[in-house]
Amino acid sequence: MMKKDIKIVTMGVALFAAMFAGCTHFEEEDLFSESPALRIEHNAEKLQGILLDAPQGWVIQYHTGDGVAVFEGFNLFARFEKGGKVTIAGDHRFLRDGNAGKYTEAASLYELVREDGLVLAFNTWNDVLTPFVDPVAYWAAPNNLLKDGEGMQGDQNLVVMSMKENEIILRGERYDAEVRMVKCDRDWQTYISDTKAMKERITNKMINSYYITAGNDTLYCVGLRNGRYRISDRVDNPLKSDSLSCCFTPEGFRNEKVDTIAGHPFHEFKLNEEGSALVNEDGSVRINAMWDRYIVNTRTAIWNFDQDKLTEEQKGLLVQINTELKAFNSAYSFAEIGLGRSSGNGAVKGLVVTFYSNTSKTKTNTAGLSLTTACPLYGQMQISYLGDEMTDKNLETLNKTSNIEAVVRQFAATLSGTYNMVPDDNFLPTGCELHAIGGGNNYVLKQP
Amino acid sequence: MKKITYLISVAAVVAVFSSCRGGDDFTESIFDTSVPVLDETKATYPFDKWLYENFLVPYNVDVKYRFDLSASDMNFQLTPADYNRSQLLAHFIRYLFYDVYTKYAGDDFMKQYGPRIFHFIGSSGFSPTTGTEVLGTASGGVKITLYKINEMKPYSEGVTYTGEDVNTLNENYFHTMHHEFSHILHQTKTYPITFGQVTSGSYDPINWHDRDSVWTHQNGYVTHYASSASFEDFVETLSCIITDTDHRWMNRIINAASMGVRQGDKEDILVLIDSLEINLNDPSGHWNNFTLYEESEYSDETGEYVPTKRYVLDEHRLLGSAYQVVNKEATAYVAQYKYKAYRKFTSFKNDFLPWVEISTKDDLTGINSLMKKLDIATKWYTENWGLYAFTLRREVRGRQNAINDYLKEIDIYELK
Repeated sequence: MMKKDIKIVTMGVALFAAMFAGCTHFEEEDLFSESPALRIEHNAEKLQGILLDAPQGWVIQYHTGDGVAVFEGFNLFARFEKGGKVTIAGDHRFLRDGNAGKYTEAASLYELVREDGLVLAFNTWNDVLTPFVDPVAYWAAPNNLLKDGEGMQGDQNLVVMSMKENEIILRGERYDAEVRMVKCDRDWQTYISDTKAMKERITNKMINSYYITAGNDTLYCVGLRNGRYRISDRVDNPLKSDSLSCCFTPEGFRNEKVDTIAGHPFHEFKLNEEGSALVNEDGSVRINAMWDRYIVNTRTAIWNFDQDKLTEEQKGLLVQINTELKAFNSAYSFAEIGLGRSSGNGAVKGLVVTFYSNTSKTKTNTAGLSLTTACPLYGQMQISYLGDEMTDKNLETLNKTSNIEAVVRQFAATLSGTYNMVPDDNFLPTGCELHAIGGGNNYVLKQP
Repeated sequence: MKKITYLISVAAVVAVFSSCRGGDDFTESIFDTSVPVLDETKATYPFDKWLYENFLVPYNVDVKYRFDLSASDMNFQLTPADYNRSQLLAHFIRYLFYDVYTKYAGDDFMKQYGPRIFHFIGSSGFSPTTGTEVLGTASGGVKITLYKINEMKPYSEGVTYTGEDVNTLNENYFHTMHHEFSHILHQTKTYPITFGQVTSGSYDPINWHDRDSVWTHQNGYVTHYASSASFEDFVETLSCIITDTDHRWMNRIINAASMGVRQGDKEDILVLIDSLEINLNDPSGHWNNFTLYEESEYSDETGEYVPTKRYVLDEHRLLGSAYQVVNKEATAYVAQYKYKAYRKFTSFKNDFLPWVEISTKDDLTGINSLMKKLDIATKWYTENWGLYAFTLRREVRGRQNAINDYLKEIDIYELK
């Protein structure tokens, strides 16, 4: 009984607070001076004025669905005219009639509907916007992702949640997805190309995973490039994960809904001045690409050592490797040594020797010795050589009539240690400095 | 704002009006059409003006081509209609619906009984639970909602409508409109109770959509939906007379007659075909070159195919062949139905009809029931409304045949 009373009192206080909070953005004299109908009418007039006062139109950051993101966010563009005409443009992948991915403009009608609140309704078919709303037969739904006649769960009737001169926040009347409109500050095609350039800058096919750091908390996200990404508590085998949609912007990207991580805003991210990370509105959350794992766990590229930065001992070992190669075949000669994955039978991940296999130096081959590399902390590489690592078939073959394996093992032993990595690019590095922690030689790695 | 007030007042007047229909003598439009509702600054002004002059003034009809979420069925995810297609459909509604009824029933008929609101929806109303697709709805004789507008062939300079395009118009819109309009009429003047008694034992409002067309025809219904309830059967019967193609009617007749007829039915069938103005001697008509197939269905108890004791046409055979069921051993999928060619016919009149058996079975329905209901419905139409359903069919078909000439006369506007 006591608990019930407390609950009722708590609910009452919460209700009062909610009512009060809902009104705080109005001036005091506005609170009761107008009837709701009149207020909606005045809001409609105000919104109409804002919509029309956009020389370069509006960017619509459009999202679909009513919960877990199934589709990415889409950048659409709109220019509103007084007579009820709206021109909407976009280049999204769901454009029809062979226009998928192509810049397309389409004219249709809009209306400011006065319901319980104000609704921006796009109320005739628009080739750019309405495919998101079309229920289509379930068998024809895009990618068959939603098989219930709901199509992509987009909305054409958008409830106006707030409006400012430069920003209108809307919410789908049926599915509740948040849609944001901001005045476009450049022509639409330029916005598209600038946004694409930013997307290419901060995402790529090689690295599509990121660290999200907020204070002492670190989360992980995968798939940002898709505009729909998974955020999780662990990189591998996450216990919890969620799917979010975002729109790319010329400065970075923006998630559909306002959210927080460890109390910090997790909504809009922009590339910082150094170009090293994406940061939130107040700089308290950073998103860093997993370039360190990309280098450490590389499966395709070989990160070769800059030979000028090697120690004299190591340079001497390379001379010996060259000698051993020639001992095996006089046409062979040393080319590079690096970290990565060797080629051929029994390929290993570790230390890879690249050698020329003809005198004209037009053909190369590799020989590899397994090495354990790890990423103990963000931006660190740990190289461990225990002495009994296996070799690949090529190194085994070369070693049949030479002593190359022993020399390669000596070289591997010199690398053991932990390094701070400094990439030449934080989103898709092609080179990286290795700074030995606790003293030792520093190295420079480069992709061929 | 003025427009909103006006529409509200129309709704109020309609509400009053609908409660006192019948017997009034109408001359011009029953509502005050002097209130300005047109805004020259609107991007849609030319079309709005056309609607005003062709629907609002003469018939007090509001054609809502703008999607109205609050006035739509929230059970479905729906899209707005395309502006170009909405204009074209509005022209077709005037040409193939209003002008037809007005020509034969007089100027006041559609003013008095016509719907007051059309609402155009771009997509279908897909029902995920039943797999059905809603093409149209009517609300209390006031509003007809038409779906699937965006599947119409759009207008462009010099566009031509083929027979197939016209069939699509009928299937998606005009069948629905005549169906819904017939509801309005029978809600005004009740149809005879004898209509529902003809096939009273087999209406099924829940699972009608599980029945196939062969079943519905052989049990005396024009369509699947007609078998859901007698009032739906009644309006489907009238709508099919007006809008269905010769091909569909002959399929229906062949299906319905193939299981046998009563004494005298063969003569009545020929009269029906004549009333439908189907050329029985047309050598290209499929009714002069078709095969009937014997159907059998897989039994998961015996693993054998058991005859269903019905003959089906090739179109149904192709549909039925696609169905699969798990076999008796639950190890694989097998065809649910098998079909075996039974007999080929080279003439409906001289080959098929003589083959059809005269039956005295008590439970025989088929063409006999179908024709009884056609007779009741068309008589009711004539006695109560002075309308001849077969005349309306002829008029509609004549207009459809001239549809490409009509398309040259109309103006479809871009947004200003």
